[in-house]
Amino acid sequence: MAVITAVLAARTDQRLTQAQLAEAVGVSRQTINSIETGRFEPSLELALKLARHFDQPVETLFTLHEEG
Amino acid sequence: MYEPTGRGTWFKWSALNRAERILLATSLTCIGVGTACLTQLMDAGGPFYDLGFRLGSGGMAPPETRSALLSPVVDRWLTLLTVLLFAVAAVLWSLFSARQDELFNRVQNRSYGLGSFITLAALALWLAGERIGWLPSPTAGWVLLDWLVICTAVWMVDARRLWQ
Repeated sequence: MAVITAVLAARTDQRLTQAQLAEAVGVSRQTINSIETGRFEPSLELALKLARHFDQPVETLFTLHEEG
Repeated sequence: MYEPTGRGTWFKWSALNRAERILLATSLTCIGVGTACLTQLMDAGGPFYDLGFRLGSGGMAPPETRSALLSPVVDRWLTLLTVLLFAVAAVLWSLFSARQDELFNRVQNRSYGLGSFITLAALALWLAGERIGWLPSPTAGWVLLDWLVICTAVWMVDARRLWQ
């Protein structure tokens, strides 16, 4: 199973840069980039911080995709 | 906050705050000087000394009957200094790491874990080689140096995979 992320869409909806989002949730810009491109799956804590920042349920930002 | 560049192979000095700069610079300095002391201890009269002697003397071989190059007192103090430098470096590095985000710590923890596993596997092979007389006895210095090199290599590979 793969995790599909909607962080990029949520960020562009709010017209935020990666650096602005990174500063808001206390991580580096590259961490946001790695999450958006699917190379890095964040911890529950960071996922909840992102969800709170976008005022969305965490399961709309991160969904499980069943392969095959 | 640590911001990697070159796909994780280097970092932006300007992205670090003052405290992080002091912690990182001091820790890296201690590691560098500690490694220099360690190699000095490991190679007092060893193959690198031989190489240096030959280069410096235009190819002349070092005398066969040379004794230990470091006196026992120097050896003892250099060992103490090396241990102290690595201990200070480890404490400062852990303080620096605690200020970084989870991706940094995930890459780092993986490099420690996989680096230690590979070092242990290499040590097992080394000990097997020693028992059958193919290799010399491993020393603590070589094991520590191998661990540092392997952890750094794993970091580089992981950093290239996870960071852009």
